Amino acid sequence: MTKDLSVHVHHLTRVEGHGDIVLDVKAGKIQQLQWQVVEAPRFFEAMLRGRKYSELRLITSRICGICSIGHSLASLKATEDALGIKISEQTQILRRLAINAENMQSHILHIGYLAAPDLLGVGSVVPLAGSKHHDVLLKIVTLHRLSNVMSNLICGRTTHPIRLTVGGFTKVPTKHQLEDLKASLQEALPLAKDLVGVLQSLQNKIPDFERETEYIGLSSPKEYALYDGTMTSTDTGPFHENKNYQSLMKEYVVPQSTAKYAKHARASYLVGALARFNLNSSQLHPQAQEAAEYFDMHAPCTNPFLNTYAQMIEFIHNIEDSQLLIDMLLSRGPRDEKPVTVTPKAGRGVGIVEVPRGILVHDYTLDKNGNCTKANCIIPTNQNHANIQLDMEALVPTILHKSPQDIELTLEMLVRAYDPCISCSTHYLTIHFI
Amino acid sequence: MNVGIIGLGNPLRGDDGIGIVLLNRLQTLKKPAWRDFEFLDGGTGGLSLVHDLARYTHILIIDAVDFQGEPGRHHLFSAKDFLGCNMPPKTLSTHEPGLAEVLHLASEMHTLPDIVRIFGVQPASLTFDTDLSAPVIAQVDSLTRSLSSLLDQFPRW
Repeated sequence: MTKDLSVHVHHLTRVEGHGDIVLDVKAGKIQQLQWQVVEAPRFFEAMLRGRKYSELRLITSRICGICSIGHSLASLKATEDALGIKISEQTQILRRLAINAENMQSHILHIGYLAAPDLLGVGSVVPLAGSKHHDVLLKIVTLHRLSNVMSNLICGRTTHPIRLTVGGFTKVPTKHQLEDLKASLQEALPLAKDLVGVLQSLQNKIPDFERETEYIGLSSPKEYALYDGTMTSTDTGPFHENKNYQSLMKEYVVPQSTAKYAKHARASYLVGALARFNLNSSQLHPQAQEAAEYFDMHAPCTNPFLNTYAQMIEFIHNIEDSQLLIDMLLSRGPRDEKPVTVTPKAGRGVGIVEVPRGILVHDYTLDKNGNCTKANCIIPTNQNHANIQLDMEALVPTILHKSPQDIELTLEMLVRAYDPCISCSTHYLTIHFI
Repeated sequence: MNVGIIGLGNPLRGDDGIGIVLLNRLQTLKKPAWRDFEFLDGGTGGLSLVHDLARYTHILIIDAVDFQGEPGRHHLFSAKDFLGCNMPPKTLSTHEPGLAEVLHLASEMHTLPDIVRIFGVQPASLTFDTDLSAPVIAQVDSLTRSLSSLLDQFPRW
């Protein structure tokens, strides 16, 4: 092969944050191929030092405008772990509803607004309006609106929740509001299934690419784990030492990235909807299982482009799960509980949840007054960067015969399939001033 | 009638936060005639703004808009200016995704309010800064008066 090729995608669009793709081929040989993260670092862990335990949740929520609920929950779990606080059953249920709301919000945004344009052959979601796909757009917008309404009802805001607090909720939805939400979720189910049909009809646009890797996520014998569970790897099984998470998620730095990379048993691993599907698909609710069958997806699914399809399956699971959680609340009658009273004390706590893009860890050390002396956050997108790079290295030789435009689009689609939240991931960096 | 007064902008990016500053100024005035207006901090907008637009019949958006004017000056736009404009996108709203895209999407979905007005303020600086630039600060009182008078004229926007 004598092909020369240069692909430089500066600030890839339809992802959150700034990342570049660089590919240089000379005489058919790859000279350079890099997924570069060029977003400015954000120093959130440093901001937490010296802050009171009650402020940590509010500050870390601002790490991300998409997964602010997930950051809040990981933060609360870490804070409560450090302070030895046990939350009520009602708070557990409401937090599970909150995490479902965020998963739905984020997944439909990615499926509908960010990934669908690639599959439908348009540059963004805007041209879908008034096109032959107008009806699809209306369904996407309706489902996104419902997800926002649900976040607003449970968390008090569409983004950056205010009702989630250490030890509980500052306000609880009423019985009537929960009944309305359940009815809206029921109405949404057929729309979501229509989208499953649309995605299935576009499945032939998904590149035929497989690369087996390690998949890491939470698992639980009780449920399809999102809020709680044991860190689990498809390579090495369950990992029970929450406080020792750094031996599972080994972070390292690379020259081309302002975000850390991570690995475990192999050179890279994958987190997010596809990892959760590969670990826990047998625990999906029935209609989500049907969607998986419809996509002919079975664990282990090793095509990273199908992460978007795993998100669609999870979206349906989240609707079904939320209906069950609302039933639990209604049968008990939502109570106007006050958050648990906190007595500050010294300690270290680790909070781990699944957020839309994968497993998220917050780790805080508090002094005797409840002020934070040390913080560490491990973000899902960090954990996927190395896997994106290795996917690219495996993918490019198989598509070099294609046109530069096709190669560029395929690489863009690969990165978008991971739904990366690049701004979240550029949080690290210790600066040594000399 | 559902009337929304929406401030847009990022207060960490200098004059980009002017929409939020002016929204807060209006809210502190608390004029009785405005009691049915809903004042909303729309943040940096984005696609969620599509859902907010669907809730109103009348909407006034306050935002930093680069219309190549003197810093701190304002111009009142209608949705039509954004929908059918020939200006390159960079001369419109300073946020991503652009306000023009959101208005276009809402228009195509028939969820655009009956009346849409955009009170655009010309920024001088969009750098990382929690303060507005000097030329824009100098106009904040005057801009608040202009907006207050505009709200008093409702529904003749």
